[in-house]
Amino acid sequence: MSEKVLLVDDEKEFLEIMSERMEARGMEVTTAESAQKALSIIETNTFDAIVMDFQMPEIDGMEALKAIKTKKPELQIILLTGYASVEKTVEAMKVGATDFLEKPADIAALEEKIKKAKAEKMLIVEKQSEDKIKDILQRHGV
Amino acid sequence: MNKKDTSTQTNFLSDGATLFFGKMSASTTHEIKNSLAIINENAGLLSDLAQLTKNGHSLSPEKVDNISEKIQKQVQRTDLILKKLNRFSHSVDGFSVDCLKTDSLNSNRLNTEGHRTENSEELINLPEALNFIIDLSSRLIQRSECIIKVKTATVPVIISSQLFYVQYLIWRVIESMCYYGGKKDQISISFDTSEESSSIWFESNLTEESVFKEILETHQDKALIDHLKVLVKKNNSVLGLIWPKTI
Repeated sequence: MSEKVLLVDDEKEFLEIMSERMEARGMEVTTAESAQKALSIIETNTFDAIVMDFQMPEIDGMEALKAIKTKKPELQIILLTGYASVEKTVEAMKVGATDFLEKPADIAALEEKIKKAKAEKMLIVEKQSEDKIKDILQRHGV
Repeated sequence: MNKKDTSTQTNFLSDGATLFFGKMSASTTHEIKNSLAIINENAGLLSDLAQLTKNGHSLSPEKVDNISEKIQKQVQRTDLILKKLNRFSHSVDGFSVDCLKTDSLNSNRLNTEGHRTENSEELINLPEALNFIIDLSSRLIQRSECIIKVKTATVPVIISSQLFYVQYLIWRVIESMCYYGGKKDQISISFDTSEESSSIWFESNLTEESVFKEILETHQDKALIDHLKVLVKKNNSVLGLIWPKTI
């Protein structure tokens, strides 16, 4: 089954070419030119991973990361960044980023990280389902 | 101003200047990285297509042309960014590193032993300096969602000063208005020149008067204003930087 990815970057040309290459590798890609648009897209769509530029207009990468994680905690976010400082990386990981990749990125490395993120998400979703079932059973005294 | 005060002022000036230089460099290099990322992906796409042709698929010459054009466009973009960054870096030419550290604040024309010299001052076309800083910081301005409108000067507005610090001061006003004024702020910039002075005026649609009052009030800003011997006038939501010609 193909990976469903939301690609977020304020560089339109980057979105076009990157999504073309990702689709050629069998991924299903949706694009957003801002974190604001990404936040609205995730309201009605599910993704295996979000690949997002860390520095964009409107909402700062860290703010966007927090907002996405608040709305959909199970979503796996891979950050693309021009320059990844250790402090920023640690901060983003604490907030819930799954992984980091520096621009220009190697598509094979990105593909691998997306697959890993999908597996991670599936585990979280399974755990959430198990917890829900346990909760229902407990409420019914089973 | 005693020696201790001067030293503190100089530290404020050098700290602020370093921050300014860092901010401009970080923003422009980020843009270069974005451009390189697009070049990288286009090169990758060519490689993907080459792989497909090896496997018997046909390759459209138009597609290759299109990718080639995209790469060329990004190379031109990167070249332009680097030219801007290079021009900006050269704006510190003419004064030594020690100029940022020594007590040169009150000594406009000292010697060559690490102090600011006569050569470090130059004739600056204010509208040109402003447009350059707006261009250089376009990514930062875009991130703040600030809209800047510059009224074209009808006559040359020339001052004698240090270009790097003038750029720094202009940026501080724009940064303060754009970042502290709230989103969707609009700044109108105009120039004025007379026999007595040359000036640049920033008009903001800032609604909070308290925020406007804070502009150019940090220790770093005050050290910069002293260093440039510029007068700052604030009136409602208008801020003027005035360079008297008599100094």
